[in-house]
Amino acid sequence: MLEKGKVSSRQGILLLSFTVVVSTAVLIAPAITAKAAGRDGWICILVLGTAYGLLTSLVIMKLWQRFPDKTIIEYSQTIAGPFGKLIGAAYILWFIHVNSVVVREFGDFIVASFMPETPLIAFIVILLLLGSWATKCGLEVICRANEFIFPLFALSVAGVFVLALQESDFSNILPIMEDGIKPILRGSWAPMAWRGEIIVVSMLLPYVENPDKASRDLAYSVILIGIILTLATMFTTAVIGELTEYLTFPFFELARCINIGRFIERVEALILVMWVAGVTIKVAVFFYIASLGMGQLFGLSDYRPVVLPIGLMLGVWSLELFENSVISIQWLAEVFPFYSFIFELGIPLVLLIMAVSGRKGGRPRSG
Amino acid sequence: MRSIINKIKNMFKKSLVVEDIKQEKPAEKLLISPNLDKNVKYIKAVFDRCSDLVVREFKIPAREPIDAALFYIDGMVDKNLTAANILRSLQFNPSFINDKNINKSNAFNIVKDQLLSIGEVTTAGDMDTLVQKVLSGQAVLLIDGTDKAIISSVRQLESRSVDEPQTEPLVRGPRDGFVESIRTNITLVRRRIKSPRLKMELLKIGTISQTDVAVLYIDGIANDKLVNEVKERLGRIEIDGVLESGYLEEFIEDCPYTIFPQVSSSERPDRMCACLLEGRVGILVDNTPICLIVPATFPQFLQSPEDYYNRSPYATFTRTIRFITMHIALLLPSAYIAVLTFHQEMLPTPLLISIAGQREGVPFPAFLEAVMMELVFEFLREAGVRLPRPIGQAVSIVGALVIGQAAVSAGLVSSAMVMVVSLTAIASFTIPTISGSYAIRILRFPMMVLAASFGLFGIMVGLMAILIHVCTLRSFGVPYISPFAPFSFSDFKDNIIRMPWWTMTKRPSFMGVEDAKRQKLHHKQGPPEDKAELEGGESGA
Repeated sequence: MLEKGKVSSRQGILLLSFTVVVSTAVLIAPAITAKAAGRDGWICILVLGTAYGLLTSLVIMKLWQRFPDKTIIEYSQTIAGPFGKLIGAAYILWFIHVNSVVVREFGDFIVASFMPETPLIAFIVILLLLGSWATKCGLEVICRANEFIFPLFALSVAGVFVLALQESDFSNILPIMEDGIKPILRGSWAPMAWRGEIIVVSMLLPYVENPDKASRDLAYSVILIGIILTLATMFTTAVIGELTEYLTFPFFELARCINIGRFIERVEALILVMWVAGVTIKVAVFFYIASLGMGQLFGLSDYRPVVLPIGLMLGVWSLELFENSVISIQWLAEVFPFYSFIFELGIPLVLLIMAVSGRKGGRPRSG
Repeated sequence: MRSIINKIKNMFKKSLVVEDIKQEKPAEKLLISPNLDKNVKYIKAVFDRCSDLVVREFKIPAREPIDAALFYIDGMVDKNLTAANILRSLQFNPSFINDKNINKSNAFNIVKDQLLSIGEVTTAGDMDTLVQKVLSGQAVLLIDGTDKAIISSVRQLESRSVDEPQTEPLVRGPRDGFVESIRTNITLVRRRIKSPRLKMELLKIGTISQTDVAVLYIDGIANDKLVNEVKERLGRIEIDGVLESGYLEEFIEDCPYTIFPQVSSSERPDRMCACLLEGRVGILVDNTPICLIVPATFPQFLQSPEDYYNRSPYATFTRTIRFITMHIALLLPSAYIAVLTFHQEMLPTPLLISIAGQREGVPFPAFLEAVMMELVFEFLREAGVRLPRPIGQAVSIVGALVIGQAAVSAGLVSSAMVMVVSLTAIASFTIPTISGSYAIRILRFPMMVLAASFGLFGIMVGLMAILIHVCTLRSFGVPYISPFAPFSFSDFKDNIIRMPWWTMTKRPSFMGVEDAKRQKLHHKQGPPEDKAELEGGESGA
């Protein structure tokens, strides 16, 4: 195996997938869902997003139970033969692509909100340096770092919620489902795509120390993510109201609105803290699984030599992807859901059907 | 003569540190010859030009007087004890003189078993051991006709008396600290843990200095693998001399290229004992009052033994304070730079105006101002540390001028900057361990550079880099920031918060202790159940 470390199910599944999904989604989700579903955006995230997340994790777990010591890159080759290599390559490309989008979003956010005079490339390079360093250190280190910042992350989000209570007017959320169910369905695509990013655990499951807890932790993670994102959307709608859909980073604006007794104000620094910490982990995870997958695909004895090439690719890609943040948000809302749907649910589902019909892999274990 | 000395030198080189490795090469040992003259000549050759060696050649009175010789190093043995219990017993013993059955062949046993009135007597058969014993302060007796030496333990080394530890003073807690003698130090530990399960294995490290090193652990608590790992790492050291435990620290740490200390050091026996009871391993080195404790985790460097002696709410309070001040010491200057350079909008407007007003006459950007002042403070600290006390006062007077109102009125720095530097300094003094505070002090400077280039984002990136780095660190296999990550709920009882003693039923789990149970559950005390009896007793009295 390329990765010799082992992580506990709580570190690797519950906490890591939480950070991977929430760190970016919490900032942008309210805006994108608001565009399609208006004030009902939170329903998109709570109901359909969670259902999709659970479905994805179910497929991943079923596949993993058949191949308990293989990642998706490895078992796709077992299931689909030579065609599996192609699937593996596509996955790696997708990991890199998603990662470069994340890096770009991050750079755009910092440039737009904090440091308008610094060139974008500076932030991208710094973030990728951190990410590649974490990748070289391996899965255990990424998990441990994430475990350390998780309480910080959770407290920042919770702090923003609590502090925003004064400004919020929950009547903004009413009436619920005024225009029927259609806008909600339309608004659900983007949150579903983010929730499906939980597919990254299919690359980490073989390295989990206590596999019997993995299914439970994954389900908890999906639900926890659902709750946090729903709350974020609800609070944003409650504080900002109809304007949410015109903002790029509504959760950040929400933090800006906080002003309690003229001494707790400008808590957006908290958001910066949370965002940098979370995105570093997210970038490191995608970076890591792309490198690990590449190593597995080409049968390397170590994944570390491919870290630098992948890093360069990520840097160039994320610089050249979008012209500006408006286009990137539009892409995230309109193209990304359908594109990622293939990788998050489509291919795993096909693989699972092939595995079941072809009787490949070990017997699914109970529990 | 030269060749013999070279031979001895080679022997010293080859005499490996760990005892059992040495026994694998018995062929190299030079045995003691039955001929006393030859032995004396040999030893004198070995100790050529060593003026501190005392050779006392004398005759044991018998029918045929037996030649004998006593060797010791002047100043390392108790002279009274040597004179009274070795020389006197051998030279003035009427029964010995009258006994006709005594001759060269059985003198050795009689001397050893009947005549020497010394507590600890051992024998040695080879020159190598003999020379070492002489050098470690024992008196060695050679008798003509015997190929063995009698080694009497009469060691008495000049030593400072047990004193209050200078670097780790406490308000509440024992006042004794380690001293330079390893014997005294071991006693200080033994006095606190009166159990044969407390093991102390002696090693000799240093091919020339032959320094005594003791590895202390509690059998059945400390993980065997950990103990073996410590001994193995110590055994691998082949340095010429070990003058302080810091030498060993650099040899045995897991990751040499890091700013964070991975071995904790202390001069407090109570801290050492607490760590032993947690399942850690202690290392005592002769000639230094500083002991080493492994494995070390980062939270340990923010803890003081006093936290365990004060009541739990007070301890929790001081620990929280230290946790905050650690972040202030690390981040305050860089946060000041970041806010003044990039995020002026984060300050309340009146404060911003007042700072801007102060900075009007200051010719430097905030970064330069901060680096300059922080450096000046580090100069002052360094100047103050090693100065004799009377001159030290002068430094503090000058220091108050340099980092103070004079600097502000000279127009070099703003008074806000003076505040920042002073606060950082105070904060860094609250870190209770020296090595912990070094790490924080050094990291402050790269953080300032990051803050000056990228503002708050830079600070966050720096913190993430530090986090990733400390996550890669391990001290003897134990993750460095346990119990934060890997997270362990039961270990959090003794971290930033310190729960009352009766709740800490388990030893820290991250060290893989053999016996995790510290005490039985539910030790909590309450008012006596049988109240009536007590009240009755009171009324009766």
